[in-house]
Amino acid sequence: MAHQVSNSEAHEKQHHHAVPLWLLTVVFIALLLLTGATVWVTRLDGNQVNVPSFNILMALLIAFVKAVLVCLIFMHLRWDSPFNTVIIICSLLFVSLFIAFTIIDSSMYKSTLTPPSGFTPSEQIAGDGAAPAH
Amino acid sequence: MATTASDTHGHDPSPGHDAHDHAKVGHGDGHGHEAHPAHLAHHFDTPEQQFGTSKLGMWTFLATEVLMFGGLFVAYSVLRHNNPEVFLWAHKALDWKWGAIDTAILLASSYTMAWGVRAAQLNQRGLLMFMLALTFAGGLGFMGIKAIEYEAKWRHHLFPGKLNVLNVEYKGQNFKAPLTAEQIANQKEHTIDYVDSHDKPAGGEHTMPAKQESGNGESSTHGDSSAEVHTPPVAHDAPPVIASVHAELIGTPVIDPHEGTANAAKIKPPVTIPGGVKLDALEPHQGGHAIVTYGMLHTPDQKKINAFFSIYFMMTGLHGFHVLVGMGVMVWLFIRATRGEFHSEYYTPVDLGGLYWHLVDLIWIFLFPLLYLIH
Repeated sequence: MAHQVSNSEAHEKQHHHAVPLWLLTVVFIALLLLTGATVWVTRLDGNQVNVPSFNILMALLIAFVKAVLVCLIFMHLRWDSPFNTVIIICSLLFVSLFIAFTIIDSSMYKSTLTPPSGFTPSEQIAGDGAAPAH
Repeated sequence: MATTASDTHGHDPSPGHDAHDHAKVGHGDGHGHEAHPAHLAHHFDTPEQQFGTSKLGMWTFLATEVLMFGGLFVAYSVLRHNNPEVFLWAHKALDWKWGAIDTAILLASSYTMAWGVRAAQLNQRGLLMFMLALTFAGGLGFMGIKAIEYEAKWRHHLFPGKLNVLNVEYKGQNFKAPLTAEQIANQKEHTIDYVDSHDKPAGGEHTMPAKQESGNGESSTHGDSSAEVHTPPVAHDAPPVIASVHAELIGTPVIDPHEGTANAAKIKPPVTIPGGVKLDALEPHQGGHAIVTYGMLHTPDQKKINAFFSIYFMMTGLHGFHVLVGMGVMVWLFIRATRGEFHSEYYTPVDLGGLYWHLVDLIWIFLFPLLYLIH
């Protein structure tokens, strides 16, 4: 065509590329396995490191991997113009900033919140099990 | 002058057209440049440029969607950061198995959607229609499970906000006034201690259904029943926590039936005191995470249960609404596909609809662990 520009070659490639079926299937199975991994990791028994903060970190990490798979393959970002990737990464960056700063801000004011009534740290000592046996 | 095609300039090929014969429109009406595909709008040089631009616009929209849900994720983060115990307890009202099934359904629907786009690119019209129908069915299944979950919550009066049965403002009573004995009794009556499969006493049985009739003194029997347990020995040597709604929730100490034996809890079990016990004072007991019961929450936390349910309903509700919109898009695409409007040269609506659906799936991928897998 008379108006052909070099840009259109990149568009041409993007336009006509169909994701191979085997790749779609492999990614789908991987996603299912990762979902299982998410459940397993957060429900580990006998895991001495099973603290809530570790759990959520692992779960979010796996969720991040799943998101990357979906974005790259299902949403075709791997073969798209790179600018689309820039857009989505920027939005995620901004959300992260949003969350991070709000948490920081909230943490700073946490100490000014009304402390729960009836709570004294010294009373945390576990009982002697003196409650009546059964 | 007659144009080379029967359709007017700029419209899609008529339904009678064979999908491969995308009509090129002549320009006898004075355009002055050569014929181009009917689907190419005038302000674009090539179909490829048009397609690339459409994609760019769609990704920009997806970015705005991410930011919208981001706002809710911020609310979740702050609420959970400030009330970890509330989340740790209240999340047990959710069944993670439904959430996992939901996740699998959405992943499958994303798979069929991506396959559908591929089918459109390869002129496989029947396959495209089939994939669109499957994607729609996935969305339907997802919403069906949501309906089941929501109904289960509402049956237990677990609403967002003021109507939440666990919120002391239930029935519009004065939040600041001290509770009367009747209100306390009423509140306890409606308190349900949801059971997480991790909340097993020694012996591995579930013991804490709502309003358990056996009362609160039965923990010793669990030690006896350990012989009948099928679970491997490593699991759930947890000291049972007295949590029946019929017991005194506050001030009841926790009994460790293995006290003095080799199976005694390595750390002392938590003791309930007036006002509850702060969760971060609890160490993980052997075999897993700490058990939290309603009675162990601080009294102010007991009043903030609706915080979890509010964010739960808001996030899953907004997400569910997006799924419904996506299902509508699928129907629209299906109808258009029936008419043969998509082929290897023009499948943009399928692609963009697919992007939207994948985003909906992405958001759920993050919602699932954050709401259902809190331990």
